Amino acid sequence: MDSLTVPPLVGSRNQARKLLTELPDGYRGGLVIQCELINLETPSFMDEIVKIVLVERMCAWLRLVGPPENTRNFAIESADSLGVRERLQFE
Amino acid sequence: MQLHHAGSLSEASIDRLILTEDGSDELRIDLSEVTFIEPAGLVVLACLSEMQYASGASVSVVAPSLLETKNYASRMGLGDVLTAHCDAEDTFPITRRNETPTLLELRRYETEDDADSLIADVDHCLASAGLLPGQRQPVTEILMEIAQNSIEHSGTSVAYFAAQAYEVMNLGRRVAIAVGDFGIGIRESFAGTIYESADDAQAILSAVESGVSRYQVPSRGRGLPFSIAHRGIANSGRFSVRSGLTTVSFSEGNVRPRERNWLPGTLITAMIDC
Repeated sequence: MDSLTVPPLVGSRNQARKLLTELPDGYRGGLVIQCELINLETPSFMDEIVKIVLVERMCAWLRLVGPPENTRNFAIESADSLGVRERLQFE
Repeated sequence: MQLHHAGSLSEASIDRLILTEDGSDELRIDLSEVTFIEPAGLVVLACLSEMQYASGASVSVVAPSLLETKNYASRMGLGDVLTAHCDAEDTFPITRRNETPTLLELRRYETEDDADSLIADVDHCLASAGLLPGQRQPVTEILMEIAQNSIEHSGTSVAYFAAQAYEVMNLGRRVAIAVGDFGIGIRESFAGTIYESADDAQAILSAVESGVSRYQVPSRGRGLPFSIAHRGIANSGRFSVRSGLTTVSFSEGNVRPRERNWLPGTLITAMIDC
């Protein structure tokens, strides 16, 4: 699995779910998400990403590349709340 | 039944328009003495007329007698919306769109996809109005959260949005946003959860508390609180959340609940300096 890229101007749970439709069925490996283009930072978007990738799909790990500060913090808060912090990585 | 309103139609002054009586099969909204309609007024008018229409009542509207107020209401798309619920085509002529990027027309939306495209359109409008990405970001992020909340939590599939960007002397741009629905309201949305509340004020305060969600999932319930506290108030913004019998206003260092006439559903207004 290559990486996914978050396009500009997305920030809803709906858009998070759409982004992750590119994840192949049954994929349980690690997932890299490129976050350099993020220009909207919402807790809901990142919570949906963390929940789907690490809880529902049970991927091995999630690595966020270049997230802005708030996005990084939202991801950590969600991962802490959902008990999956050890599988969340940053680059 | 006739509802008559004079002066400025805002979140604080719409009570006379929402004093509806159960069972009424005819609604006449008299705006002849209205001098200005804020985005919140447009949203409530749209929700009210749609609710009445859906219940089988006939709806008629008397336009503002002040020409500039009538033209503004037309330009903001009130005629487009009301025409769907009543015979208002002559009252508010349907006008051309995209003439003025600072006026973000009254818009009905039904789905999460609608809300996403609404936000993209708003961002485009604000860019056309000359707002830089950093100035648009708080507005867009706040709208992202509250527009999606209406669809997800209101128990109805219809919500309305309107906004306007103003030039404020010595302060730059200010954007006034209103998003509303005539759904179940915030207190009812918490029914059966640990956040169930006997009064609307407490329910609203719970809804803006980080980590509180009717889903009772630990990571949920952070979007609206973050929007209000960090994107809005931290940027000198002001918010009001109105639902049921209460409006709670939020500004820097100030949280103020006030009793209101009953409003079906939820109305959120935001004033954001850019």
